[in-house]
Amino acid sequence: MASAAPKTLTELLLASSQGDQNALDEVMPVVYDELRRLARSYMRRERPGHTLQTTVLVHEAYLRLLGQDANWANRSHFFGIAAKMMRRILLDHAKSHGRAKRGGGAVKVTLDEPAIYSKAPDMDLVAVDEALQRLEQVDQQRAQIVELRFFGGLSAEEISEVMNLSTATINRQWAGARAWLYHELKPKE
Amino acid sequence: MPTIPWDQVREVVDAVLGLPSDQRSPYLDQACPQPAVRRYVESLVLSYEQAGQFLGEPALAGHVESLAQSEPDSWQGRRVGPYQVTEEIGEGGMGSVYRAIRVDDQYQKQVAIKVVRSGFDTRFALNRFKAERQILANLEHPNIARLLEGGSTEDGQPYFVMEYIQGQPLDQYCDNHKLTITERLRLFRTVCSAAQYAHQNLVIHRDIKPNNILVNADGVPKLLDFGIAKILSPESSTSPLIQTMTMVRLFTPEYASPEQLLDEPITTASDIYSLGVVLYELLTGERPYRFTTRKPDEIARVVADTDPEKPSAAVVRVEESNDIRGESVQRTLETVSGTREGSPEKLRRRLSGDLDNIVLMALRKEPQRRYASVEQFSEDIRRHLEGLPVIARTDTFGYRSGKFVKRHAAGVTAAALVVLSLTVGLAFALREAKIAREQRARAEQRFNDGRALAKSNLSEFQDAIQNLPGSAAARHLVIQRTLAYLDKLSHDAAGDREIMRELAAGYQRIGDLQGNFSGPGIGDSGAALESYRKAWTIRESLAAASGHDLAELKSEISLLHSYVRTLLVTGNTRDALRMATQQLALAELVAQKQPNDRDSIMDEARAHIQMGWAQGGNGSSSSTRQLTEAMQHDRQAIELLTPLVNQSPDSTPLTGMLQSNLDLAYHLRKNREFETSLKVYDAIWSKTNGLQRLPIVAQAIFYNHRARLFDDMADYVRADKDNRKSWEVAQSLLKADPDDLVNKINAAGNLGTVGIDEARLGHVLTGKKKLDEAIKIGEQMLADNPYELFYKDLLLIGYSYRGEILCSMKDFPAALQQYNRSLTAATEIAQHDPGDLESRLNIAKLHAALGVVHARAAQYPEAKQEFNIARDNFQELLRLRPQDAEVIYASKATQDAMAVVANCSTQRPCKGVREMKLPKLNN
Repeated sequence: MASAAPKTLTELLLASSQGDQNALDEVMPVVYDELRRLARSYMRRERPGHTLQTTVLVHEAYLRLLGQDANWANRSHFFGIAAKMMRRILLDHAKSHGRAKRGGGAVKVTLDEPAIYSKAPDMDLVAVDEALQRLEQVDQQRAQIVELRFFGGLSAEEISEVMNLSTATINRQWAGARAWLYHELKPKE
Repeated sequence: MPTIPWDQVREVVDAVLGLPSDQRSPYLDQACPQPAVRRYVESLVLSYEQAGQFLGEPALAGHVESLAQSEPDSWQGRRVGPYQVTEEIGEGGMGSVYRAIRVDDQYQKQVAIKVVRSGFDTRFALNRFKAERQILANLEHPNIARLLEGGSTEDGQPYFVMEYIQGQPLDQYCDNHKLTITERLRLFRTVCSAAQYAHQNLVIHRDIKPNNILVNADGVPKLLDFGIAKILSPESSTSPLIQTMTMVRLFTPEYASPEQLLDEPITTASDIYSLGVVLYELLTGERPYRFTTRKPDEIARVVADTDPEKPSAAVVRVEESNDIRGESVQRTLETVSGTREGSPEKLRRRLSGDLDNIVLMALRKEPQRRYASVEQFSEDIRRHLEGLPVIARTDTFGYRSGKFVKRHAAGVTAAALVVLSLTVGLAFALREAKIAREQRARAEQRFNDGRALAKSNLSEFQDAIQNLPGSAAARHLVIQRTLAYLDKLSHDAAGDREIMRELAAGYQRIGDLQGNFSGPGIGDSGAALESYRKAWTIRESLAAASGHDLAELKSEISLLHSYVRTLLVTGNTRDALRMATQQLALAELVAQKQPNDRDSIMDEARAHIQMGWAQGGNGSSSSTRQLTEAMQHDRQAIELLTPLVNQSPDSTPLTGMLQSNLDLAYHLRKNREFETSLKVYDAIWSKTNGLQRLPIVAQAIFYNHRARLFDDMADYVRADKDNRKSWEVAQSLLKADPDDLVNKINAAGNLGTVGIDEARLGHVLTGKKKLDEAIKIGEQMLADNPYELFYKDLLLIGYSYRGEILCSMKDFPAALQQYNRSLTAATEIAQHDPGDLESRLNIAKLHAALGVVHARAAQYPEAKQEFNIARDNFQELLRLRPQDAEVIYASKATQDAMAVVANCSTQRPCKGVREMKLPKLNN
């Protein structure tokens, strides 16, 4: 009845997927909050050493926030937002904890070593993020794939849902994006 | 820094990375002739090869731990009333839980404080929170964590204080203390008493699992975290009973019942299921299902579709596994029995037989087939412990494979069954005529009096509903008033069973009216569904409290009957099938209790008929398997009804008999078993003495149905004959009662059908004349009754027929006009009932029809435009119903048509246009 009633998350999601920036601004902190809390509660529940699957986290956040309104249509859009939020969460965290080494050459790797172990603190998220921002300037689509995959933890199938591209295209472009990013970040000879 | 723009090379980069290394060089020779570009690309390829595991794993993986630990917590150390928060101990359903100590107490009593988290939809969360506080305040039981007090902080955040339970989760406690099976069972029974108590207070826990059952140092188990409990009693201050149903999916998947995972209605039986999982784990050391991932979809699929291994078999298996928690575990009979019964063989023997059956009964996929109450569950365990016979039995074949909860393929279509078409609106008349005519008194006067609505008292409303005025506008008004009244009443319903019964019956009746089943036509089925849903919610809670007594069962069956019918009518075939299965289960239950009772047999037969309808669906997109299953149900119904028909002269079983036979014939027809279908019609004919035994309305329906069969068999002559017979009956009915709207509309519908058939057989002018007359009647009726969508439906088809005729007469502008009118009607109907995919299909077809007409008129650009729209609509429908044969067929026809006109670019007649078929609307 009341037209001034606060909008539900689903309505906001729908509006933001149609380009409503205000709605998007409202949705983001909510998702952010939820993902952060879920991450925490996972850590408390799970035994140490367990590798948390990002996609499960995102799925669960999605279900918790949208409940009965969870359907395929707004799922894609949600995942897109969640990936952005994960990126932000992790970056805020990395920055505030000063683990970041700044500047170029932050990615420590040689030809023989497998490059980055995910648990290694050497992975400089800030540098990756900055490089990704540069990629966004020249190639929005590939940058989004990276964001969804690396920060959102989505599989190729899930990404194809969000971006409406074939998984073949996504895998191909992911390869190219990785090459570009690594090229940017590797220690210069 | 490279100066080569990325967008120039990205495609090349993608491509070259996909090539094996020996093919890269030759490829680059071709793709990158300029050396600078090539160098750049090669450096990227090199980078790629050096990248190794770069970005190989999602970023979160390495950072969760520190992320979790670094979270600043504003509640730590905080004073809340007489308590001080010491640490956070968990995330509850709607907020966080903290441990706190009472500071001014020498004993330093520990409590748990639960707060609502701030942020999203605070109002909703607050309501839920208040509700939870309310539940806990009401629950006082030695095995349920007690509520001590509640309050709000300075900044308005509500919290409540609970007994702090220090203890171990149930499963760990049992293992650590090496409890025997008997001891575990006794402990479990204590937990059951807590759950039973909650159920009696109309609360369903919904998240029962070992972590929510803590056993303290004294060995007393306590049930906690009713955080997502479903409340069955309404909150006093806010929304009515019904709105508490919208719950976020917060539960632990490994312990959740199939209905929870599939987002279906939750009952106390869901708690019984979860208790079953807990018991399974206590007895065997593992859970009944194993999952490889934690994805909700995967878990739902496993739980709904596979059967658990019986406990005595599960313990015997040696298993090395990574359980969900990522630990490697080697489980053998030895290790398991070490904490349970001592010797492996003894454990296996202990579990086999009764205990197997008891656990499996609690774990049945169909809620109704589990224990009827937690108490019954607990009692069965007691009987086992005392060596008495138990209720639980080995599951019979028919139910074993979790048929109830099978996921249905996406290819289930929209409804618009034959029985719905305007010309077979008689089916409605037949089904409901008896009730409608008897109860639909000429209450216009009474309505105008205002007496019926003067007093706001339920019985007055019921009165008004019983004798409802005929005019749709008046009906509408009464519905609105009654709904408002019912919603208001639900506030006061709080646990009062009598009122709740009234409510449920009231909502059901309203649903009937909204669906317009007691009158002509299809009304607001969406609203009807909503009302039925409300009624069902209440019925469930009543069942929870008072179990499955006979009277309640019958009410439930009656409600389900209407509910399912409406679901089918609106194309919610999946839900309909689910509910119909419940309806059948309940009906069978009643039939068991009252084996020779006529009413229960009728109910059972009706349930089979609905199952058949739900399975057979729209026929054209049901698989042979589905149709075969549908026919099985039809035959079952026939079998049940045959003795009844022979016994009693009452028309009700006869009606049912006719219905099931007609459905059988219909399913046979849709399965293209034409000869067999015809035989069924012949059988009806002979059994009813050439239809003489049937009420006249039924006769008309018979002819109508059989006409379609002849149509399919391409025997247009016999089809025409039957259509005319149907029409004859319709006319005579009309003559007998010319004011009756049902009669009028049926007569008009039949007239129209006869007209188009005549035209199709070649007598265009006479056919058109009849059709015109039929349309005129329809338009008149619509003008008098704008609420009645049913008339729009008739006109929708009528206009399209007229368009077809005009097109064949080559009057293209007029044909376009008619099809456009049809399109308008279809659009209005679609808007009114968004769940109705049938009208959307009609819209698609109408655009295709317009395309064909334009093509015939050599207006190719317009034709292309219409075909494009049609194609887009079909695509949308295919997305929703990927296996719908009807949609696929029509869509293909449009594509073919598009191919034909693609080559037509001039104003000259084009090859293939004449062969284009005008799509027929669903009828």
